[in-house]
Order: sequence, then C-alpha cells, then structure tokens
Amino acid sequence: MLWFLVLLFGLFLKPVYAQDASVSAKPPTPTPNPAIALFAQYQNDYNYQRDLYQQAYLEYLNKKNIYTKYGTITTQQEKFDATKKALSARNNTLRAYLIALRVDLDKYRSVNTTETEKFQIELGKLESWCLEQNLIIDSLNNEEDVKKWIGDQFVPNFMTIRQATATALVLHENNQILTILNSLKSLTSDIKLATQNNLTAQSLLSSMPIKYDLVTISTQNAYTLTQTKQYSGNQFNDFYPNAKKEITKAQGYLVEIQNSLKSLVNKYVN
Amino acid sequence: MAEIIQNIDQDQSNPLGTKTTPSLKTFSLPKNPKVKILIGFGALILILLIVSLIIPQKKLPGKIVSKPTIVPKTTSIPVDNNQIPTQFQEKFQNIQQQLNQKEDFPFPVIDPDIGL
Repeated sequence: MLWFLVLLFGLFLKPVYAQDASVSAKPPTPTPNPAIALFAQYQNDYNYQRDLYQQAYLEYLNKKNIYTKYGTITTQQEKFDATKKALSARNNTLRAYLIALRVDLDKYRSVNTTETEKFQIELGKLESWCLEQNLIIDSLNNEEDVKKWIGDQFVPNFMTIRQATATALVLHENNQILTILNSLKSLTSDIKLATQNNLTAQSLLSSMPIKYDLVTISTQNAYTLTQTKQYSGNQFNDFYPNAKKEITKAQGYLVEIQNSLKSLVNKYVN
Repeated sequence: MAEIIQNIDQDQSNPLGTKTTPSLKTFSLPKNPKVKILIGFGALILILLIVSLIIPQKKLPGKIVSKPTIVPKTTSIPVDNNQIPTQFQEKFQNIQQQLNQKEDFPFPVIDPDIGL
C-alpha cells in the first residue's frame, strides 16, 4: 500500500529543472532616452493645437468674407469675435511648438550643454510671452485695439520667435550630428585596439580625423548662419534652408565615416 | 507589198519609235516647297553639328560662370551587416539607428496677418 502511494505521488510530481542560464546571460536592453517619449507627448499636443488653429483660421476667413460682402454691424462683430479666436488659437499653436522644441533639445543636450540650455531658457521665455498674450487678446475690445496689439506686441516678438526656433532647430540637428560623431570616434578607438598589429589598418584609421574635421566645420558653418540678425522690419529672411545644406553635408560625411569603418572592420578584424 | 526593214544601228530609222539610248538624269530640287524647307533645315542642322564638333568651347571674357555647389550625397557602400564581427555589430547598429533618426520639426504654417 505504501509503495503504491509513493508511486502515485511520484507520478504527479513535476521535475525541477535548473534555471535557464541563457536568460540570465542576456545583455541588458539599453534604456530608452526619456526625452524621446516626452517629445512625442508634446508633439501630439502641438498637432492638436495646430488642428484647432486651422479650424479657427478657416472660421475667421469665412467671417471676414461675409463682413466684406454685407458690411453690417452684426457681421462686423462676428468677424471681430472670429479674429480673437483665431489669434488665440495661433498663440496656442506657437506655444505648443515652442514647448515641443524645447523638450526635443533634451535628446542630445549632453553634447553641448551650455549652449543648449541657453536656448531652452530663451524658448521658455517665449512660451511665457505666448501665454500672457492670450490674456491680452481676451481684453481687446475693438479692431483698433487688435491692430495696435499686432504692431506693438505680435510683430516684433514673432520675428524673435522665428529666429529663436530656427536657431534651436539648427542647434538640435548639430547636437545630433556631434553625438553620432562622438560614437564614431569611440568606435574608431575600439577598432584601433583590435587592429593594433596591422600597419595598413592603423594607417587608414589615422586619416579619420580629417573627416571628423569636415563634419565639425559643416556644423560650425550651419551655426554661423544663425548668428546674424535675420529680419528687417516685418520681413524674416529664413536662414534655415541654407543651414540645412550644411547639416546635410555633415550627415553625408558621417555616413562616409561609418561606411569606411565598416569596410575596414570587415577587412582587417577577424 | 513593201517589206519594212529595221536598221538596228540607227535610232532615227527605227520604225517602232522606241528609244534605245537611256536619257541622262540630272538632279533638280523638288518643286514642293515643304520638301524644300525640310532639306534646308536638314542642311542647317548638319552644318551646325559639324561646327559644334570643330570649334572648341570658349569662355566669353567677363562672363562669370557660376560654379555649381557640390553637396556630397550619402553614398551607401553595400556592406553586409552580418559580415561585421560580432564585437562591433551592436555599436554599428546603434550608430545606424542614430543616423536614421530624422530631427526635422518644421515651424508651423501660420498666417501672421490675422486681424490686419
């Protein structure tokens, strides 16, 4: 009877295996940059505000056309209300864009902390200005008030916003390029160590700093374009397309360096 | 009944009136004006082609020739990532990810003239 019970118990017992070593040996996954997730949130908010602005803007255009056609006091009041709504929505869009851009700068801030923080503060100030303007827009009573506000407040600050955002974009893209360049430099050092007995490989690797300099020069050129006053009167001369050419050039050099290193590793590292 | 005798050596006395010697063809421009224009254009094109081949390109004095700016394009050398030694694969992948990340965040399209 006892033997029967032992046999029955043994049948229902599950075998205990040793823990799978491969699971514990798995390399830790790299922690994602928190700025990326945060930026996605603020970008969504910006997209929402932009949609609201587009709706308000269409309504404003519609009311403006009706007033031009009929010219009554009622249609004038409707046009004025629609103008205030559109101005408010435009401010919110600008503010949402400024916040998203400021958060986006966090992604590669570590490569150029001082300059990046300086621009984040600048963008923060402009965000506050946009927020204040919504209160002022609410208090505008007639079209004369609106025109005065546009001339005194909006136009000069809008130019500042254009220049600051374009500069921040260039700075951000430069930071990304310099971050990748640092990764490539670190990789070059590793490859140097792995090929220290190969003279040809060492010779090829020693020519890499020339390409690093090309990258740095292109980023500096892009940044120099942002340093001059880009507006006269009410006209903003957008320097971003020219700066973008320099950025694209630098990105091209990065790809070249990466491909050179790949070829070198394939040839000289076993 | 008199018998007709043909002298084969003399055309004039050929009673059948057929000409034995071929007439000489001379080149003459077609009378159709459209064909004339076509031939004229063809000749002009031929002359221009020959002239362009003979005369080398000359720079006009004082004319500024704008040099096109050379922007290097990203050339991709076909390198199989699986061929890269394992010790470097992760680093190359990280760099590739960073390169693929597009950081364009364009300024919103807004009307600065609302209310004017």
